[in-house]
Amino acid sequence: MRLSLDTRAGVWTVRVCTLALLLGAWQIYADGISRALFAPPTEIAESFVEIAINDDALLDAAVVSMGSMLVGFALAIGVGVAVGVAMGRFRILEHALDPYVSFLYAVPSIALIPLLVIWFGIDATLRVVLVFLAAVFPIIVNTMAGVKQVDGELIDVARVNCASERQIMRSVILPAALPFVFAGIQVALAQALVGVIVAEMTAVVTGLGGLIIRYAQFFQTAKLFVPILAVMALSIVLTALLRMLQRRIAPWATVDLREL
Amino acid sequence: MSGVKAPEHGAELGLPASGAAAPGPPGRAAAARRGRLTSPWAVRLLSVVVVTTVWELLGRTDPTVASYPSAIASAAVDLIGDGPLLAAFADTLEGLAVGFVIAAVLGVAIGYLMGMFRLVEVALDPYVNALYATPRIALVPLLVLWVGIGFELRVTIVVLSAIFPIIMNVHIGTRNVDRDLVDTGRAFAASRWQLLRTVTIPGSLPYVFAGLRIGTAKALVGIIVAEMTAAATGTGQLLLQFGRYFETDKLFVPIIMLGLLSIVLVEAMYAIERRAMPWRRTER
Repeated sequence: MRLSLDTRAGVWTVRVCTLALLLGAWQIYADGISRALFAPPTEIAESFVEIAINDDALLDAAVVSMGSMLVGFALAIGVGVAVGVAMGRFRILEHALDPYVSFLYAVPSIALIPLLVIWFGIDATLRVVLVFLAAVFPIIVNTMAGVKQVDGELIDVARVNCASERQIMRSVILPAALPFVFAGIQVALAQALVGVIVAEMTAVVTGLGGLIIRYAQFFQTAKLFVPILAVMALSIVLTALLRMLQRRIAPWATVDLREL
Repeated sequence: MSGVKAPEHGAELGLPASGAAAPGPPGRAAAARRGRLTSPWAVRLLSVVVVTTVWELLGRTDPTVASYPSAIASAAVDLIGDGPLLAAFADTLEGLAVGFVIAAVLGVAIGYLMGMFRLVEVALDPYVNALYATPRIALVPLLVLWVGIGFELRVTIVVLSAIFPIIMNVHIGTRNVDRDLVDTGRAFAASRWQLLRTVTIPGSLPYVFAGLRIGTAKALVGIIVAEMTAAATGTGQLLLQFGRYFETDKLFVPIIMLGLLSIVLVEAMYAIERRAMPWRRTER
């Protein structure tokens, strides 16, 4: 019988087979080489039990990482949307700020780490500031683009009907700009995650990034995989949450092309 | 803003919506609609002058912390004349270029394979999606174990950083090719290869370029991270070194150069895009 790839069953058969093949090859390959370099899935699973279930090491690290990450990210959303809307609405502001916004948007934010260490030391403030800087510019830029593309006629209609500035903002501009805002937030999330992990790997050895560095230094490769996979899992969950939120708050804004 | 279908989906994937993120002139239509109060360049100039002056005055009170524009300018002249900066920069560019070319070739190929063969798509989709969403730089310490800390490490990290946005966009691009065109091609008995060459590739090019553009930005981040965390060379190493000795004025120089490099790379990608798709005006 030929299994169709257009049915759920067919798709999942292929996926499960791929995964089994991958894990099998990994297990066999890793068995033959030094434990310092590679670890088979079974030992990674054992390490996971050791670090994450019998001990709080992984959980503690995740809390540290996500704490500074979420604070910085929330600040970036608040400031980014406010500045973006202001720049989209007022041309003077737009021109006064766009040289800095364009430039800082272009600078890889992780290049700022050494400077931020001089300014803020190496504690949690550094990570919050770095996450903020990594996340705020994509949000500003996209929000501004969103506000600027609002149909001028809609605004005129609202005005003709005696809407106040606040009403126009709430019922015309924000809904029309939301898809762009979300696009910006999505870019920002990816950059914020990179920011916090790199900060933890270079400046302060703490959190998940710190765990990764520590295990790598002692060649505990089986354990090393655990925080790496945790970072991946967290990123995937956060990205999915954001998509869910977007579908909830602004269902008209979803241009989700990846239906599978 | 008209005719920006592709970049809008690109926005889903990290492309600033309708290219407005690019440091270029803002929408002329908007300017005409709201009327010109003052010339944009006058406002920009004034703003830059004010900020630079304030920074100069404030920075002089505590130069180790904030530094100030004139000190940064003279540090730039020193560093460029002296050599370490340009050598480090060349180092970075080399890793960036090699890695990006590999990522572009592999990424475009995998993206099209996923678009053409349903089996490949179904098999790879979960991994591409997962790796796309995660910070690949978490893999750096693992890669150090595998490939050492030399040139190979930097290239590997650049490839890993750049390849997923490219695969993702190419794949989505193949899905967004006009179905009618594909059907017409089929109706005229076009072979798979002909269909790819004359319909799928031209139809998906906007996405391919969006992917390559995002890829360049990610590649730059990747190489800086590699140089800062593991491979002690290039611009990343320079940043760490100046930071460690509190040479704030010098520290600003590579930061500014990286910003300029990023802008130049993105502009170059736009230029190539316009070249490659003369039938389609790229929205700026």
